[in-house]
Amino acid sequence: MEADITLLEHDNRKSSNRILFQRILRQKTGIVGALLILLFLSTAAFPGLYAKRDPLEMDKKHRLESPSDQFLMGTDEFGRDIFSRVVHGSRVSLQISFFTVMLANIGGIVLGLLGGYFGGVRDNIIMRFMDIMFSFPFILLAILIIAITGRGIFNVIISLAVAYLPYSARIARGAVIAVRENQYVEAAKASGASDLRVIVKYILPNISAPIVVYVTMSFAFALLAEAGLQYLGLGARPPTPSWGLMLNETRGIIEFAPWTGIFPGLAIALAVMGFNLFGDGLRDFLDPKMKN
Amino acid sequence: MKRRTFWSVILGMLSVLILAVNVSAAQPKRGGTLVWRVGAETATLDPHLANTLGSTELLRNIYSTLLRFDENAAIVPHIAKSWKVSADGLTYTFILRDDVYFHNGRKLTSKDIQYNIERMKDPATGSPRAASFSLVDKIETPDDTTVVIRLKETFAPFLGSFADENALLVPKEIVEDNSITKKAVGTGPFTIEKMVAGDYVLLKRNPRYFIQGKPYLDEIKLKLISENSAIAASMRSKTIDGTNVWGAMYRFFEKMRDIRMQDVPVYSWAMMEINTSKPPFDNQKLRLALAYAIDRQEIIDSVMLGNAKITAPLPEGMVGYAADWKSLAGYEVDLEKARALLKEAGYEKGLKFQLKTSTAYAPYVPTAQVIQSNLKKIGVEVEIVPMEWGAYIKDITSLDTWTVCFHSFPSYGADPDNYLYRFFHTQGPWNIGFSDPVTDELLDLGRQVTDVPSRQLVYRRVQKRLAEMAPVVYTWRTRLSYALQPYVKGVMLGPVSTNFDSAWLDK
Repeated sequence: MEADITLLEHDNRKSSNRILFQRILRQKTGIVGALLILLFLSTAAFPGLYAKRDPLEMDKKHRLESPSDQFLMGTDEFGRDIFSRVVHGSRVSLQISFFTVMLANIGGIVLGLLGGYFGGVRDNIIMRFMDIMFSFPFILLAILIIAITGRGIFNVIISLAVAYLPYSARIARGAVIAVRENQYVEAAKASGASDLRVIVKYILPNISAPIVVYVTMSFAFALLAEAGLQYLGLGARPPTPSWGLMLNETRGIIEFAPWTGIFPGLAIALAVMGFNLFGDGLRDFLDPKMKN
Repeated sequence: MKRRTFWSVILGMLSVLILAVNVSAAQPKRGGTLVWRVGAETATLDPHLANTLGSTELLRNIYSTLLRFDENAAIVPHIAKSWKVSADGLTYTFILRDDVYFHNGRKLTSKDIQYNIERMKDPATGSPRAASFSLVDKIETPDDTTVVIRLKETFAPFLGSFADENALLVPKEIVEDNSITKKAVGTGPFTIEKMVAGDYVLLKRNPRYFIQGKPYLDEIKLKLISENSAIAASMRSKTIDGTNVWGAMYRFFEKMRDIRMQDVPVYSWAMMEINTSKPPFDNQKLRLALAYAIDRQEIIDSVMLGNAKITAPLPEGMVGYAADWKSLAGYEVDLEKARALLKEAGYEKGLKFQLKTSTAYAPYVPTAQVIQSNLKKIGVEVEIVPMEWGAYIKDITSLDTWTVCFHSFPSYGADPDNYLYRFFHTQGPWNIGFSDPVTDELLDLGRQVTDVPSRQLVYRRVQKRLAEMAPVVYTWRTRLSYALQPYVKGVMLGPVSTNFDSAWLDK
């Protein structure tokens, strides 16, 4: 990373932009991922642009209709438009994953930074506590927290964030330990910089590459976990359109109305794939070894 | 002469042999394990406290009743081989069988009948069947096989109370040593061999069952499966031998071959209950407004995929059945009327309430969703609270922890009183907070009059009154069938109960 920045500074501005652009273009899978993410971000932000029908409206005359030009993805047993429910469902899913990822990673990175930087007893206390949380399977820990707090979108965010916290703490701590012993850190300390300044100015920028990649990847993870909790009926209350909940509701009819399950499932798969591909592309892009 | 006798004897023997061969083709075979699908586990092992279908489905195999309902919901002898009712309708005399033993080896006597009635009647027991026996004045046991019961007043549904498949007879000793909640010791055809929570209950044949030679089965496995597609798959792969089929499940069974389907009359039903004891729903106009806004046919078409009927409180075939339910208040959708009533009730700006229901049975949450969408049209906002079964039952047991709830009910015997008194009489054991002097009076009257035409009249009036007062909104009564593998024979399938003591497997 350090070398990367110096190199860019030495080049002249115009050609460096071109090189950067070419390097981005080389990440084909990453671009596909980015496009998928953009698609879902836009459906989440402006669902009305894509789906004209009300996702909650029950239309008695059009029950369990297979996909047609009138209902792109068919209708469910209540006569609700599945396309519009899938589009509106992206909002709940992305909202939950966004806040989960933010909370988990901010918390995890702060803990990881503190542990990794200070080491010793503090590190031990933090990381042993994280180890305890690691000993519970991720999804079970999330379900346990929901069992205590009760169902609801907010509680899903909290439970997933808490369950995810140890993962990002461990990643951050590992990265900090790798850069902590570098000479520029020692130099900063020797010149009298406070701990806070050292962490913010010298450590954080140098561990940002793995963390950015990790955060992107964790979106995919959060999306999947969120869909899982919704499927178990622990998240949004019906009739809120949510991909996981739609899959839950289709259980009784999927055999003779497969479109009620295929499309929400496809949406989850595509969104998860989008974040994974983007994360992969980003990792390759930020990895100095892959530069040529 | 002698010779002729000899030949006639030979001929006679031959004909007996031929007859025997003929009979054996239709004769039940002993042995085998029947795997029967159930939708819920038992909530308790104490039959006097049982009030869920899951409990009944298990306990009726282990305990027995004094009388029984047959396929047509007629009362037939069981432990009591005969009975007599005095002309004034106040004295009931039962003659018991002499060969009934509990699983612990003790013989059942008339004293046990007395003990069981007293236990169910005692408010300290907390039995949901207390009301059926509350009019019992005196019980006499002149000898071991005779029970004489005197009532305080005439009580038309009384005989049926003994055939209620939850009025099961327990031995005194397991109540006294407090083991009734841990083990089941009855007089029934089976005993519990093994219980695996969340999976199955294995029942084993009781060799000392009082009906000679029965049961034919060695074992019954009550397998817990609640997912429609899983039930269909298990039926197709023959991992289960029988299940009930209702509502949306029919879609899975339509194309299934080699499966015997048998329709039975349906006494069970589903309703939305409204807690009338507290504001805002102590307001009759508000409740009626909800009834007018709920589109029952839409619920049936979307949730049950058409396999259900709109229902008044009493089912078809029962005394008091209202064939003209359409004329009852609130049974046909009328949004104008609903809005007007809402305005009169003082809620023209709308209202918001919580509708509790359980995730245990597939149609509940979807039904709640249709109700939610229906009521939105008149500006009433419904928040659906889907709950786990145990938590749900706990919440709706106390009038302080629910406002509106939705679930279905099993059949409660063949008498209309069983379907109304418990919910709507002020003294009813499951009173939903509803107290109305007119309803109380009519329900009391229904218990006292014994001739069918008068009862018909009384119960028609009760239903009319209930529709106007709207403490509940009756929604659907599902079509109900049993799906059986072709080799399953002899299961008694009735509107009230299902019995396995004559069941056998032809394979």
